[in-house]
Amino acid sequence: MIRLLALLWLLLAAPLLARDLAEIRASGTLKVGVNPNFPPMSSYGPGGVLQGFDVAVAQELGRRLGVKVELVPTEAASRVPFLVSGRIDLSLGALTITPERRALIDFSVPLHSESMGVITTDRVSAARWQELDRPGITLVNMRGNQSVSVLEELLPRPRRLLVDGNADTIRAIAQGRADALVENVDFFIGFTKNYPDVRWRVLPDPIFTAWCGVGLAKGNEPLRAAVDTALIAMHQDGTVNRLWQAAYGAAMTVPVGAEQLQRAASSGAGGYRFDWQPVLAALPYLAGGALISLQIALVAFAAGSIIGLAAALARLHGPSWAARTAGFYVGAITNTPALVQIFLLYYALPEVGIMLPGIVAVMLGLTLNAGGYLADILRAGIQSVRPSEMEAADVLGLSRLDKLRHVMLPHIVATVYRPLANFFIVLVLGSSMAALFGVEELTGRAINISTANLRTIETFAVTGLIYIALTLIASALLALAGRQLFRVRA
Amino acid sequence: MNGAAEFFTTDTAAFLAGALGRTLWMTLLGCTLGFLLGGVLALVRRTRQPLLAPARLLAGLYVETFRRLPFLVILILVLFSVQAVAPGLSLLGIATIAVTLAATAYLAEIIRAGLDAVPRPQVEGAEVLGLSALDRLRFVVLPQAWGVILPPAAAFMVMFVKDTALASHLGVVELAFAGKILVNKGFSPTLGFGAVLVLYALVSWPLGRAAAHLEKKLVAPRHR
Repeated sequence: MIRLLALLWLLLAAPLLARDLAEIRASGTLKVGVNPNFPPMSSYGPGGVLQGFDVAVAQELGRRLGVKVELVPTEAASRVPFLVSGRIDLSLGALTITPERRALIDFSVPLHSESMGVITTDRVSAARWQELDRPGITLVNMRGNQSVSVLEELLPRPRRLLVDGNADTIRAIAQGRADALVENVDFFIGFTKNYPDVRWRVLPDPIFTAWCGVGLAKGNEPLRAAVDTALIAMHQDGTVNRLWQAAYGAAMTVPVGAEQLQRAASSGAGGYRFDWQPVLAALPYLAGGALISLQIALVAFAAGSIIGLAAALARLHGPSWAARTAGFYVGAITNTPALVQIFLLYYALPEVGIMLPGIVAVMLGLTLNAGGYLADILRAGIQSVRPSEMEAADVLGLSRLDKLRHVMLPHIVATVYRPLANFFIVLVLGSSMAALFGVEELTGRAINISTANLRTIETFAVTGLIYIALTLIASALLALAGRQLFRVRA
Repeated sequence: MNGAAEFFTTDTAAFLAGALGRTLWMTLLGCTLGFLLGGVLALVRRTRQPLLAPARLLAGLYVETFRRLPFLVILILVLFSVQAVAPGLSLLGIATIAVTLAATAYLAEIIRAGLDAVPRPQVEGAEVLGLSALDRLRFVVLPQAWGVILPPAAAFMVMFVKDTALASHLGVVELAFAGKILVNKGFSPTLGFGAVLVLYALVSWPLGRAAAHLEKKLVAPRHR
């Protein structure tokens, strides 16, 4: 028994690989991950030496912590795994503070902003980004960029021009093929220097701002405190802005203010102060997401009912091969998680050349999943019709249709209505899985917002309330429909 | 891309076994705690004391709220709330708290239905006989309610084995996340996720059968 417990402990205890502050000080070297292909953040300069904003920040941090800095070239995708495994102590490289990442690593206070704004010229008469939402405007963007889909929501009316590279976007505006670029202003503004004759301007009021911090392994508290102290000092004495200016040739569009330093510091240690304003401002955006959630649930329910009915009939009245197939389908679906079923559709189907967009994979997955559960519910309903009553109907000489309408359906509806209504609620809640496949339904939009406003608890508390309201309304409508249409108490 | 020969190794097996262990750990611990807490909530909701009215209201509110929140939203809320007060708690611990919170609400409802299945006159009769509240529960209600509560509670727990897959979003290396890690390592998604699906089925199917057997044994005789 003790052995078993020890084994369990071994399985559960996470290996502690990251180095703490004392070990780093003892070794005299701080290992900092920087992206080697991200000018002007960091890139190989003359003589193969890494240079850029991140490199300068790393050196400055090392100086203030009293250790030498060893730069470790780290691709974007390896930043988090390298931190977790302790290959690097700190990660730079425009590491946006997101809930997903916070689950895996810790962040320092913000180092710089990442603000989505508008770069345009004096040819366009618009004072704020909202004024770009008109048909005569052409927005340029990079193919496959995340901001493309965000734009379709925020600015649906303008025409779109998709190009392939960073520099192409600014060139398109300079050449007059497009009017404006909506993107991370800082990363693109540098290209405008190639066209000094164009009168460039950046509209005030960024569309939204995310914050990038220094990443650390989870639970490495003394190191985080030391980095935070150094960073806050670097913000306050102007070092961060000076280094940014040197690398970018312009000031940070949205500077890191006292508020961000305060927020991050307070969220770390107990004294969390709530701020509901950011999420309340985004209520319409969340409500739009709720409609998409509802759509996903409706599609899965409707299509799943058809599959479920077919499977139930096959199991009850079909030939043995059909009954066995349906039985296998129901067993396979109801004994495995919907999430992994959708993983399979989303990640494995491309192996045979079928590339499903996120929302299609989710709808298909939830439909197949619903089909399995609905088959069980409907089967129980069909079985609720007693043979004796069917025999009585035979004796009375009822036609097949009349038997179905007057004998079978009342029983079936009475048996299945409530479980069906409950299952619809399960599907509404289950549609939140779509967020994990890039679908911007309610949960997906909540993740989007909280990534930018860092008010995760507030954002998800409000999101939770929307789910509660949504399911309460759905339950009430279903109960009403049950009473009015089928005389069923649901 | 790594082939099947590299997949079926002791390393992969040990990795998947560890992940399966975490999946079962979250479910077992979370649902057991949820059963106990849910029982307390169900009992609170049955009380008649006017003084306990606020407690009844809160218990009802809790049950209604947590049954209408997606488990994913509960996970995210717990992650960020707990992080503020106990930053040192492991992700597995956080996920287990989320499972407990959700299971408490659903199991409270199941337990309440079971307790309500005992005819009220019997309870009132016991009251007239002078049995204390605890004795009424022990000798009158629970012996009869047990058979109604246990089968759906067991079925719920089997169902939750699958719902814990969402804890992969937090980064808990349970079965679903293990599949993702293997796929990211270069194994084919069909192989990686297929193996994980089979493991879930191997756990869920016998447990589901056991729960169904329990239901037959405990419930059927009444309706015959």
